[in-house]
Amino acid sequence: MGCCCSTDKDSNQNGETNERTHLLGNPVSNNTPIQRTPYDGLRYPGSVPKPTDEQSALNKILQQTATNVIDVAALDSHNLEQHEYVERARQYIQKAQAAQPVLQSKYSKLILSKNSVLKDVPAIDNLLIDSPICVMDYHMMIKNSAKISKALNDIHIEHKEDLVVPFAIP
Amino acid sequence: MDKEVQKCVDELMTSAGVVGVLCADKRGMCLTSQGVANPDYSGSLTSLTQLAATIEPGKGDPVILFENHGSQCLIHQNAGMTLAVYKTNG
Repeated sequence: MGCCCSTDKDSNQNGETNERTHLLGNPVSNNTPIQRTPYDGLRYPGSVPKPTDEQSALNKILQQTATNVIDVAALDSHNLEQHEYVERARQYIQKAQAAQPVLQSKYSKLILSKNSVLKDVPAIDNLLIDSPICVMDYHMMIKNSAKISKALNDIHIEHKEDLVVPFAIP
Repeated sequence: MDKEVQKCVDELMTSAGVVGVLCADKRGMCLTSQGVANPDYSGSLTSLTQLAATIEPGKGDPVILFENHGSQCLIHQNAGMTLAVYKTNG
C-alpha cells in the first residue's frame, strides 16, 4: 500500500479554516477519547503501566485488519462429499421452487399466452453443457450463405431487345 | 435472372434434415422462402443478425442458432444477405 497524496502539515499557520483543517482535531494524539475499560478500577499498583494511546490504536488497527484479511493461499480445498452435494442440491431446488410462484406472478406479463418463450427449463445444466453448435452445421451455413450471396450479386439484366423503338410513321 | 439463387436454395432444401430456407436482403425484404420458413419473419431475422454482429465487433458475422427439442433454426448473414435454415433433428 502506498501513499497517494500528502501535504505539508504546518503550512497553515494562521489558524484560518480551509479544506485541510481537521474537523475533529488530530486523530492519533492526546485528543482521542479515552476508552474506559471495566477493569480500570482493578488495576493494582505496580502492574504493567498502561500502554500509550498510539500503541492501543495501532493494536486495534492490526486486530481489525487481521480479522478482515482473507488468506487465499491457506484456504482448504472444498471437497464436497457426494451425499453433501446431493443434499445441498435438494435444498437449493426447494428454495428455488418456493420462490417460483412469486417470480411467475411478477413476470407474468412477459409470458405470452400460448407459445411462451420464457419458460423455466428444469435440467438447465445438461442444456448448457451441450456444445453450442454442430461444426458441420456451422460450415454448412457459412458455405451456403457465401454461395447464395455470390449468386445474388450475379443477378444482372440480359439485354434482349431495345426498349425504345422508333415507329415507322410516314 | 435468379436461377442461380433458386438453384442454391433448392440444393439446400434437399440437404439432410432441412425443412425450410429463407433468404432476405439487407433491409429485411424476403427474397425467397421455402418449406416451413415464413416470409413474414424476414425482417426480424435480418434485425437479429445485425444485432448479433454488434456483440463482438470486428470478429465477423456470427451464426445464430435457435434450438428446441426437435428442431433448430440457423441464421447467418453474408454481405448483407441473411440466410435462415430450419432443420429437424433426426
